[in-house]
Amino acid sequence: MRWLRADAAALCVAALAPAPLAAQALPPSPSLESLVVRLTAMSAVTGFEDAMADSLLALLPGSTRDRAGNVVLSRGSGEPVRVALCPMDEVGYVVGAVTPEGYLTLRRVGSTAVGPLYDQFLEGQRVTVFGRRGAVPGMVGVRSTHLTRGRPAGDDAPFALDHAYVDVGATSPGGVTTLGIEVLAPVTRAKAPQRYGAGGRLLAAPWAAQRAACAALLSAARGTTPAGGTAVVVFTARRHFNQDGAAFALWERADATAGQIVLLGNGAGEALGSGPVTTADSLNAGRSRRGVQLWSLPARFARTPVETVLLSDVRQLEYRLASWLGGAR
Amino acid sequence: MSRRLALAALLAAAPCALQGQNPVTDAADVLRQLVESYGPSGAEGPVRETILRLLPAWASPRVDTAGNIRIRIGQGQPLIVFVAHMDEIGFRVTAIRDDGQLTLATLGGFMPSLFEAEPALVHTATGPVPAVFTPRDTVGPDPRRTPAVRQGARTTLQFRVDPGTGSSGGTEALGIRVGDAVTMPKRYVPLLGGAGTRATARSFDDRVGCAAQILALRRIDPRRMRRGVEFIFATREESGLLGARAAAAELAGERPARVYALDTFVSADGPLEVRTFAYAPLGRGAVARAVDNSSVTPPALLDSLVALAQQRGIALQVGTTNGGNDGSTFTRWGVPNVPIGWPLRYSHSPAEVIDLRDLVSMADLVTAIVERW
Repeated sequence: MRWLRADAAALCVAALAPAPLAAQALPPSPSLESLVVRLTAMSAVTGFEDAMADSLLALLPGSTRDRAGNVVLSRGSGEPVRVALCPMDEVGYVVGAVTPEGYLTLRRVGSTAVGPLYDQFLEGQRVTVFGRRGAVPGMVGVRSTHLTRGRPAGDDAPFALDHAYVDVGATSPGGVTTLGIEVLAPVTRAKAPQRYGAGGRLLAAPWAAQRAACAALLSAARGTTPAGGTAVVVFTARRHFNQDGAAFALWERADATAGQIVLLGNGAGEALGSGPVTTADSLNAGRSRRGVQLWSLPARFARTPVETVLLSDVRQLEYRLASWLGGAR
Repeated sequence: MSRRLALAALLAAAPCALQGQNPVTDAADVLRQLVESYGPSGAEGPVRETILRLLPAWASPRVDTAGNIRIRIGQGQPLIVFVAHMDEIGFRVTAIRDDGQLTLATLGGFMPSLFEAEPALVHTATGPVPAVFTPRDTVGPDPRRTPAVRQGARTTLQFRVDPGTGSSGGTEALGIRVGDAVTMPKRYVPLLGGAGTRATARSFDDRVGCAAQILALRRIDPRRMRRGVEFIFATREESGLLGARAAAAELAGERPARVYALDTFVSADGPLEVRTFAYAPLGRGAVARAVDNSSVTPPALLDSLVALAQQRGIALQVGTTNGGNDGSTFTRWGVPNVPIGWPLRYSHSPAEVIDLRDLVSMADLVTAIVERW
């Protein structure tokens, strides 16, 4: 059984080179690069993935949204059934309250451990509030450097959300409402992916590895047609609430062949240039757990605003996904 | 065609005809260009070029040996001086490590944590090179807020800049050298709340002062000047008022009547500040910066400034704040310093916030002072 891929030559290269390819050997195609930049520039606070899902639905003709909010594309029929899952969400924030002076306070959303400095990385930075009338720019307040002079300054604990006030320029709760912002409006850092390194081979952004992995899956799914069996691609919601979007997807696909489920993840600590790393894992699926292969994209500076991926690693992941979904072992 | 219809047709056909008539829009246009130019302390070249481009055609600027832009209008003594600084806070590359990463020293005073794990730009001789500020190497179970260790007067940062090369040779191949300045990418972003006159960006301090001078110069008719006025766009304020210090020494012989330093009024009008002093709300006009850490305004000159503002109907607040200003380098030469600021929230952060109406107020005040002189 073989897949027919638009870029047959590239697939041949991948099939002939099962070992990880040299970091510089496969420069990313413009289409994959643009998908990586596009997805890393987007925000999808866990539980509030609708806008991201809408974009993926538009980018992946034939896909649908399931009851859990996942974006699902199924192609082909019969055995074997292969399922590739990529979480599309991120740990973010929602508006917790509006102060009488028109500032917004924040509540973090997502149960994933993100480290003690995650909230500090918000301090004094621009954010985007996703109100009912569109995206609203703001920033998280910080004490003025000059006004700390002459006052006791110690070796403080990290900035905490209790001190996070988002300034959108409003001066009253009514002014906030006018902008379409209400309690529970999602909030993330303002995103501007940074390309760096010789030739821009590296990309830094919050949650870059997960989003780049989704871009690789999206690109693989867009560029392939199954020749046999069933290939299911799922962009899952609420990864940061115990992977419950993925759990629903696997419960729905109880026919997924044993050992034929791939979950894409963040390879924190893996060396850039080593290509995707495979480990065994498991996920909830209804009343049971299902074994999955975790394919992790190497990431540097993970869980920081400059989480970095190497674009040639993303390219390798795309090839591997296209090959695997097509039936290669 | 009725007059109303004719006006509507004119508006539809030539909307640009109305540009230049809204002071807030004009102020935003000038300020955006200044803020989106880079000028870390000691490396003010790009912002200097932007200022020179924005000046009125009649101005005859010169760049002095300290890198300051100097514009003299009018003739005759005594002289008054306005000064705003061009530079912004940042870092300087102190070494290139074997792994290609850059160690840093700070240019100016600020909270290093605001730059940790953020995008970076290294300003090389051939242009900016994108990079990232690394996170600290280890976090540990009980991390502290500040990624720096202070030993006496020396502060060692616990993060570096990574240009993503992996080797010192690779870094040098990008044109990066020891001594280059480093900043964070920045953008001027209007805030939508309130009256729609607020904006956020890095380096409003002191591009707003520069913008006020440019806006005033655009309104002044130099042929009507009775005495001399000098406008200075100064270098290296954040590194110790160095550009202004050089200009002050050069001008001392002319015995200026006074200097007006146009610089930030760091305001306690923010959600995290203690409002025991420095409280000047945004949007209520420029601020006579009567007392700060470097100077005190002579009471008679403060009264005179307030009277002029009242006479012209210009919004002006009076307050005290922290920080120094370039005008203080003139006082040792016997020149009274009258600093004027504009309220700023979140000073020296990547997302300072201003209200454009305060810039308009300050530009009006500068214009009024010159016209009265």
